[in-house]
Amino acid sequence: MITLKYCKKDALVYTSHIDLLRQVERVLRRADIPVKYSQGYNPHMLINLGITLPLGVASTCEYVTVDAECTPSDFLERYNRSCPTGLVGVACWQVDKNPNLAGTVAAADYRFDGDLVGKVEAVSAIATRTRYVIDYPSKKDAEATKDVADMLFAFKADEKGLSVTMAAGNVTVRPQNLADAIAKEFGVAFSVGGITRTRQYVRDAKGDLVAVDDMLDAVARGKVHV
Amino acid sequence: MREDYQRIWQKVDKPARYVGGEFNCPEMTGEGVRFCMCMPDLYEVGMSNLGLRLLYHRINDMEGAECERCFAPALDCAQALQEAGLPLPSIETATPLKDFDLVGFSVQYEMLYSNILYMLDLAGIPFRAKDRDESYPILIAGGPCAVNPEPFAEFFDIIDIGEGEEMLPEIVEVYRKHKNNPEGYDKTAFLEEVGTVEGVYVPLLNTPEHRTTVVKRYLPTFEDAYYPKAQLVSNIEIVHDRAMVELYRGCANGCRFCQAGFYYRPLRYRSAEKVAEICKGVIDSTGYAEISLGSLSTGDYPHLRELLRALRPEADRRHVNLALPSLRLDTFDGEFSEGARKTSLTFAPEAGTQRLRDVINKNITDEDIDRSLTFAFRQGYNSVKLYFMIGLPTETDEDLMGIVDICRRIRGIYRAETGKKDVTVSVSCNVLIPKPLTPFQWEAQIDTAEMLRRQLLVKNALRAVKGVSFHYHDNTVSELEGIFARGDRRLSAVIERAYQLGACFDGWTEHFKYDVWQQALADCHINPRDYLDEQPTDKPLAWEFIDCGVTRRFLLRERERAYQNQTTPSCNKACQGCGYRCASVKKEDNA
Repeated sequence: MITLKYCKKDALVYTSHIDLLRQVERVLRRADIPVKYSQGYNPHMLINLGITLPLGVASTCEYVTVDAECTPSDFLERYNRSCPTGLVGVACWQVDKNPNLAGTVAAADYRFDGDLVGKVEAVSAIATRTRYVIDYPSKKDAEATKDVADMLFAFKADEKGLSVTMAAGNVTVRPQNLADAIAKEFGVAFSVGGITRTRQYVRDAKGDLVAVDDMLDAVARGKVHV
Repeated sequence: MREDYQRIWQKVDKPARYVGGEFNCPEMTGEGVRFCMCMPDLYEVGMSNLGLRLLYHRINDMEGAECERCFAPALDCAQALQEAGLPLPSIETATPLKDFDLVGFSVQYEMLYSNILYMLDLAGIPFRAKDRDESYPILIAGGPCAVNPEPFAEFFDIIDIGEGEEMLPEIVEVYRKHKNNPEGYDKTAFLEEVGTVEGVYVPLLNTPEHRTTVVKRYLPTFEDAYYPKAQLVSNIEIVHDRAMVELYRGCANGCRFCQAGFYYRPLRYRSAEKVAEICKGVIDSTGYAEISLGSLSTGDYPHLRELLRALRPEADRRHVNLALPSLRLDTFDGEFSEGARKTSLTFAPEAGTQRLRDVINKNITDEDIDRSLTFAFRQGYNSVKLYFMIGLPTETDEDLMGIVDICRRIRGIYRAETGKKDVTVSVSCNVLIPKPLTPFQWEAQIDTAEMLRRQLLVKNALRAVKGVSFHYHDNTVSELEGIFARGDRRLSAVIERAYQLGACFDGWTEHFKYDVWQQALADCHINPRDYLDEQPTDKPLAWEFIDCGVTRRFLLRERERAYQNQTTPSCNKACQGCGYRCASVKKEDNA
């Protein structure tokens, strides 16, 4: 079984989670990677995608686990020969079982590109707030709000943008909503398409955040990097 | 510019429709002749069209020419573009349509005519060819609707009649010559020369008042017809999310209502070897989970067994499903459906009684239906979808009741074969729209009230049969389709008026506005019955300046045979003399 770390960028940022699954299947079929299939009436490739990425957000750290019998280096090489540039693979681990990242990822780093010149100090103060209520509209309730203070684990502003570690996975903060709230409150101009997820974390036994890459390094039998 | 458009994509529904970046998308340089291929429908529909894909890659494979794409934006996107004051751009490089040299529209369906204007409007391009000078791109139309291009003729500089694989590159070459003319590009001079390319119709120069015959273009052989080495694989789900490979073009059956059956003649096969080779390339280059082996009647492909034998092992190993659409009842047999999931079967008897099937030359007997379904039920199928037409020439209520009888019989056969009653039958009844280039091109289309009466008759009678569901097409849409199918140039004004009144996406039920079209017809003083009533045979029809290969004499003879309940055999059995001299080609292919 292989866990692949890949990017999601360029035009692919507009591909939804369900469409992404189809794209990954097609890459694997083009690459002729020996993927195992489920049994039964409607056999499908045994693939486990990681947590969802909001439409329009780029990423350098997405994960997918594929039930395929091949070496990480063979997998990565074949995958990258057949993938769209927006889904390029960056690392591969051989794992004994599905790490279930979709269920266990608890946080992620996001980078928000924007012009914060003259506003760095003011925006940085968000990190010290004990309550931070932002607009959180949904289809059901366009007026909804959410207190995200406890979900922001690290928050750092600089003149060219923000780096934030915040909840992701089952409990999550939508990065676009955070950007909109900051833009509204401080008049910050964020770049169009300027949000990127850069790292994902799981929690260890003590409840501390551990980067997914480090966790995989620890459990994997082999690893390759681009 | 890019950033402006990106802002729009960020806020619209399904931005993937507009941003491109698909796998196998060619790199664009902006050099050479720039072509933009359009389809006046949403991305998901346009990208599902094989013809558009073929021609897109065909032009991109040319030296010194590049082809981009543009589809009709959804209404939310159109609004966002208008609010931002941005013209409709191409997908690949976000270049406004009006900055291209050539803009081609694939016209698939009558109800898309208003969307052509919707796209031109968003692009800031004047609707009428006569109002566009050298500063605007040359507008080209092609596709199935070109069989009668008159209703939209005034919007286009060039209309491609027939197959585009060779014609379109030739048009690009003529354009290149004129664009590079040291004395400057002259649109009229270009149109005069391009009008000499076989298959090209130039409506500005070839008018109802001064007609010259346009000869339909087709590839002499199909074996080596263009197929892209690596085709686009879209990043979001599209309507037909699979690869399509044609087995052959044309059709030997000669069903009298079927435009495609006559328009796409002559019959030209691809060898099993060639199809298999293309399919294997498709699996490697696209990764699609399904390949649709398409044609007008797949079961009539003489090399089907050989092809499936050659293709199955690799397809199975790679978990690729081979879909066989358009199987005729009389060719359905177990070998073809082997390995397929036993879900639903779709058949098109088209008419309820043998007599009426003879009239329309659908050479299928009640025995064929029974035999095929007996076989299918034994194989494990328990759901059947049946397509019928109503409003066929000479149709009586007795013929309509035949539809109900077929459904009853199917239930009986299912019960006899399986001992169970859980079969579901879905009946779909569309109204016959007499189409140009068919033996029925002179026939009357039944009016809306009569349509409704016949639909209800079938619907009510089917209530008594368990497990049968009934579906029918919207009457008012059929009426408009009928008007435009046999329309003439007077209808360009109607399309323009309807667009002004708010018509667009008419092919989508939720957007179709019948009253707008009624108003447009009235405003232009058009009587719909002029197009829907029986047409006289003693004067030429609006599209008869196009020589499609099938002769008027043959069509009239077929119409006469229809009235006498006489069938005409498949041209695989004997040449029926439709006008093409293809008998020799066929023998060789079938050997």
